[in-house]
Amino acid sequence: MNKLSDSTVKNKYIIRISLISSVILSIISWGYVLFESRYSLPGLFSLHTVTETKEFISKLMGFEQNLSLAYQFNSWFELRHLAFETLLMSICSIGIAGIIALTTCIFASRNFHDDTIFGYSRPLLKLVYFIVRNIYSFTRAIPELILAIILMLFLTPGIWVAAIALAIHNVGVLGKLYSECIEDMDITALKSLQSSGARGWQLLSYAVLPQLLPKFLTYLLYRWEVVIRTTVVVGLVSAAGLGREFRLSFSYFHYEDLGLLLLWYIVLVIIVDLLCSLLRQFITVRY
Amino acid sequence: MKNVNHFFEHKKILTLILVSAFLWSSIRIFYTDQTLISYDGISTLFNFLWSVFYLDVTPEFLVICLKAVVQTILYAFGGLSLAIIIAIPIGILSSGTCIYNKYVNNTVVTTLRFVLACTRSIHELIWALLLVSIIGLSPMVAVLALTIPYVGILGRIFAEQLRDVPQQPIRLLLSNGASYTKAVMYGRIPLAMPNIISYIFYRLECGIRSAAIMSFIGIQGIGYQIHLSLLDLRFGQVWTGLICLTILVVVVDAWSSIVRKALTS
Amino acid sequence: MTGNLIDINNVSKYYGTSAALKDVSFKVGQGEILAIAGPSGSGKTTLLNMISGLSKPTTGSISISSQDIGKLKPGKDLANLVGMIDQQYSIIPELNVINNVLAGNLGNWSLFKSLLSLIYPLERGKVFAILKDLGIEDKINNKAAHLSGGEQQRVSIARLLVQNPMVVLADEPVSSLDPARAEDIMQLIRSKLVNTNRSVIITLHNTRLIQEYCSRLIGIKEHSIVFDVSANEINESMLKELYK
Repeated sequence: MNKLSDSTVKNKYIIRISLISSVILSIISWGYVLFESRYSLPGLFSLHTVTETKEFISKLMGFEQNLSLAYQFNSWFELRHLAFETLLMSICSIGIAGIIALTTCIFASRNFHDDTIFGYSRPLLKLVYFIVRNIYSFTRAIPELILAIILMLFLTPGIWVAAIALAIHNVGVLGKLYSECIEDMDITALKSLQSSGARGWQLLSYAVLPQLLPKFLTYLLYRWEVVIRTTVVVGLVSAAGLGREFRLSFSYFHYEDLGLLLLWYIVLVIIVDLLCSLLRQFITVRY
Repeated sequence: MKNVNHFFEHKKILTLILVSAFLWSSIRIFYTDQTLISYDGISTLFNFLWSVFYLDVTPEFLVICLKAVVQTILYAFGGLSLAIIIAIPIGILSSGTCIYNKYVNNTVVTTLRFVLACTRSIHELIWALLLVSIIGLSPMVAVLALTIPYVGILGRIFAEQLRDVPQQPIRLLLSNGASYTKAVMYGRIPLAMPNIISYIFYRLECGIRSAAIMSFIGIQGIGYQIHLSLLDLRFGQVWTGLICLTILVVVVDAWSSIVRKALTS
Repeated sequence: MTGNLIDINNVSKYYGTSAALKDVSFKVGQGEILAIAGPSGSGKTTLLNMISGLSKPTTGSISISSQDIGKLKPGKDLANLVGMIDQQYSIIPELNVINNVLAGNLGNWSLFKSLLSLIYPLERGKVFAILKDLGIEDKINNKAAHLSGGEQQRVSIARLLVQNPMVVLADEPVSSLDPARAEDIMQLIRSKLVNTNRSVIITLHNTRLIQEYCSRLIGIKEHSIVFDVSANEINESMLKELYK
């Protein structure tokens, strides 16, 4: 087994310092949070909360208004258009994000502008790399919700606002993931094909795409699972899909409607999760 | 292996379905009578984009931003730390590796996995709304709304990592007389620890972003600050806030990759 | 040799329709050092796993000190009866040497005590004495991953000494060590682990080590026993036949 070496010692320090500072930060955070909520804390841990929770859950399920199961089911069914819209929003935004990320990720990967692939370094591409990488970081860091509020300033409220906000954010996420895939690509196949005279498109389809495409699709599906959950939330601000109804029911305290919407939310999440695992199996079988 | 013709047929059909689903959804969404950009939308857009050159870097505002960033970090750490503490026992129990009795083990594992999946599926902001209805406005709501879904996420990863540990050391511990629970303590946890810590730091970045959007229920933080500036239409301030947020996320991301690289070497 | 400690009775192990062991029977007495040899895949590890209680035989029974091993669950009873070390996985690399050695106590310690020992190791003096006897007392606080192969095997021997079982199983303990280290470890096994009350079963390939250190040899080929002889009856041709 390896003896202690310089880098191992350095790593040990990094881990130790990070863990200790995280613990200290957490303790400070708890001090801060408990201090900030000192007025509401006693109420939090009282019996009152338990009864409130029970009441809330029964309101969600419509017991308070003594609605029949049939009536509930009907109202639920009527909301299906909104759920469908939400699903469409998620597909559209992840599709747009995927396309844009696919076309730009090559510029954001280090092997493209240094000497690994083409045998020489191209300084202009270094600048492009810098710009694209930073655009990815910026769009990744901004939560979709804030992006949606900004977009609301100049776009008409509707389902497209949510789609665009989600697409922009996910371009950053997918772009970074894709460019990292390209950087971690196995070059040996590429080099050996290059040496036997293959060029451009041939190299791409024989050496590059077979390893990259399955990974790209898997990441896309993984992001879709996340996007369907966030679409409803973004809809809260952009007056679209299920999110709009969420906000309305919440403001009017129509909790039984809220319960139905939550049910649709969970159904959508389950559907997308199932579809994703199905497609994922398909991808791994294909390749 | 299926024969080659079969293989290619499936591939084409699948691609066709995916592409048409995407095209149809895009058309449904964007092909409407309403104009996409609102009445004075273009001028607002240009106003907004141009304001990046009028960044508000006055000391007073920068101090406000800094305070807001610190608050966001504190909320994120508070929520994540509680999530880790709760997720550890749940993760251990739901991994199915510490209970000897088969029937008890299976019931515990299935129930816990179901609970974790439920908490995981619901976005933290929705949890925040639900909690506000019960508790009312309180900073604890933000922390709890962060904790609940992250317990689901972390718990599931803990369970997976504890299960996927190399089997032979565990079997030897068992053959030396350790009970299942002790084998978990002495064997599975130490062996899975580097991967678990690595994953926690990966989720830290997500946690910071989630904390930033808790501004919607009035929790102080960088998200709240950006929201306020937006409502006042002070676009210069909005850009400052956005850049502060980006710097925060980039720094946390860099820290987390350094730690993760140190752990896996 | 005072009576039989291990009694293996018509034991077979099948995975579906493929056999890992076919109708194996033998007895081992106290104080014996038994070597088991045979080609890879012949069933030696399966046999040892069943004696240690890790897997259950499909047919037949194994008893140690008149207790049916198949019926015991992991815990104190099993710990007192049998302990095993292995080619490379005998230790937990992320834990300290002292915690690895104290893991031998896990069968007897309560849950609380085990947890406490992880944070503040108990019985330091006892562990130090054992490690000193084995020559690695200076490594007591090191992480086990930082030790060499031979040192790690000493740690696992120390663990067995702490556990103090009636039967010691060693599955190819020296196969990944160079000849000098292998000799060292076999010496240690003979001097520390073997006594008149214990039975030791070792899986080995090396003829010279078998003849030097063991009192009996069982050869297993293609999932059954082909010979069962005492050490002075061993000759080269038998082993050549075995590994052909």
